Amino acid sequence: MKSKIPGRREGPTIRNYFEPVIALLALWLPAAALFATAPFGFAQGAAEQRPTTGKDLYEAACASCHGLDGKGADRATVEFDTPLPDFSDCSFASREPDADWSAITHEGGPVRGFSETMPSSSDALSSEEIQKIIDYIRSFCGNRAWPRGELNLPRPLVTEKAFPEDETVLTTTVAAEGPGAVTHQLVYERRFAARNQIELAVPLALKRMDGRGWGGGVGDIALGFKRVAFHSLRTGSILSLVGETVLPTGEKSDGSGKGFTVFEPFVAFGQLLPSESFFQFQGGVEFPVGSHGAAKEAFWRTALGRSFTQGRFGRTWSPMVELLGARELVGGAKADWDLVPQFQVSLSTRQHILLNVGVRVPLNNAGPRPTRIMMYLLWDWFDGGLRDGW
Amino acid sequence: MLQGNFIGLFIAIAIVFVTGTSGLAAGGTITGKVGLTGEAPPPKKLAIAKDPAVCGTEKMLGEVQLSPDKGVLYAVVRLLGAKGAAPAPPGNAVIDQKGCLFNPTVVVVPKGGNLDITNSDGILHNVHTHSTVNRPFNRSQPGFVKKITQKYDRPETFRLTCDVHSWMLGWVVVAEEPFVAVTDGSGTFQLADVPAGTYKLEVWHPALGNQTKDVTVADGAEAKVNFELAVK
Repeated sequence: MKSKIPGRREGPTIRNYFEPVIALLALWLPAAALFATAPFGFAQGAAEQRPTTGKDLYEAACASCHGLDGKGADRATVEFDTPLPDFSDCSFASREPDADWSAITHEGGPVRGFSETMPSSSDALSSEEIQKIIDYIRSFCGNRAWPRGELNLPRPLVTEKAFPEDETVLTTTVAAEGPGAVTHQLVYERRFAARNQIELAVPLALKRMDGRGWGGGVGDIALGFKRVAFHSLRTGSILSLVGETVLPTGEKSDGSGKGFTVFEPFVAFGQLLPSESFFQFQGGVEFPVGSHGAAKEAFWRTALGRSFTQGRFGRTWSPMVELLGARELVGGAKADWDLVPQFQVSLSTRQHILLNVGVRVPLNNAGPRPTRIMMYLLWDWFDGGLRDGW
Repeated sequence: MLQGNFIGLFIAIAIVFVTGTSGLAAGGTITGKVGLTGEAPPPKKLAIAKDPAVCGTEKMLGEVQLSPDKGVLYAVVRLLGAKGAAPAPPGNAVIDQKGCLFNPTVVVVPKGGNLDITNSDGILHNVHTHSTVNRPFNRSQPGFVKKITQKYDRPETFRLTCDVHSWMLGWVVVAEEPFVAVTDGSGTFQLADVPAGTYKLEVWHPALGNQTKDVTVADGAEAKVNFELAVK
């Protein structure tokens, strides 16, 4: 015995002579202790027993900081730099899927770019216990009007999502053939209340002019309103109705605008499928307003994809393929079909900055529609600033 | 009956034989005391609002804990450059969370050894290690999780905190030196069975820093080394 370390059992040599006695006592004492404590076995504190329900597990393992009511413990008792989240605030608590809650509970805050004050519980709690806790945390928001984060499917390049978002998306489309043409589209989406979202889309078109370099400007600005009409976590479905007005802010002469206002009602639908797969549909009609000779046009867009998680709680990769169709609603018109293979990947640890890259390939009538390379950068600003959560 | 007595006698002889010989190991002993020059900074009074039923409603927190005769508690003394394998650890090193304090304040883990972080309080703590060489972690330890065990393979000294109870502070010293001790309740230490030779002996305290002295150890003899640390 060379060290003398408090907190470790000591064995000084002098005690060796008493070892036979100690050995006897060692046998006797636990037996005596067992005998003595047997009648009082139930006197142990409640916190010492391993809880079995989600509520009791939450109260033993989480409530000390997150509060019995889920609103976060009083700042006077826990002195954290980062404010605690409010689990009873549906706007916050409904947005993310169980998978993210589970990742953070298992691994701690840093796994999603949150505070390292949030500890990992994968040693203290089993996955089943963590799921029970998450189910209980979900009960703090009692309002069923808020669609659950599970229904928030990866955003395709073209097809509009059904889930209401707080996002800014910059999409860039580059013609892969023909004269140079680049279009940027900045979309700003803002959610309000449980089921609503407004949207503003500003395109910026750049085109190569014959011998005059690049030219172009702001295209037709669109304003939209989305409302979730139906959602169900049980069936994995979400359906939204959207009305969009496209204003003639672009130039008809250079092709950056249509020259007339278009009203565009459509439905957006999302469906969860087994094995992290999903299906999305958007369909509607463009109604030209106050124009002479412009035809109505029907459009339908579908996306099929699957999400893969890198490692157990890591980056999400979502390969998708979109099939896009549009047809003027006049006799004899033919539908145009495009195929858009693409993949989306989360860039930030928090998964609030995403990149999607794909190619839009015309399947027929390719003349006026060149193959285009498309990509977007998406920022879910509700989840954090651009520089947060990396 | 008679046979039983013989077996008992045999066991008793065997115990005396085995334990008796181990006391004859070659080498010397280093003993000493770590003292303090000047006055220790006065402990700070902290009012506690978190879990007062277990933690109490106020704590006196001092950076330096002294025995009545000014011996410094929880100073780590280690012999630098000593050859010889580290003695087999008698069990895991233990640091307990009791009354919302780490007990002991400083714990030594031999390199490659395990540290048991126990929770005697029966309430939620979170064990947050601020190690940089070994992989740091922050694990929740609800009242029903009595023990967290972690192996430490690389020498390092680091802090241990609990975010739930912000005043909790402990130190873990992962030592590669086979001869290492933490001063006891009177500020004294002992390193036994040290192979004869001349060494440097180092003392470290979280608030009082380092000091090194030369020491010569002879077989069967006791070398005395006292340290005087000063408030920085």
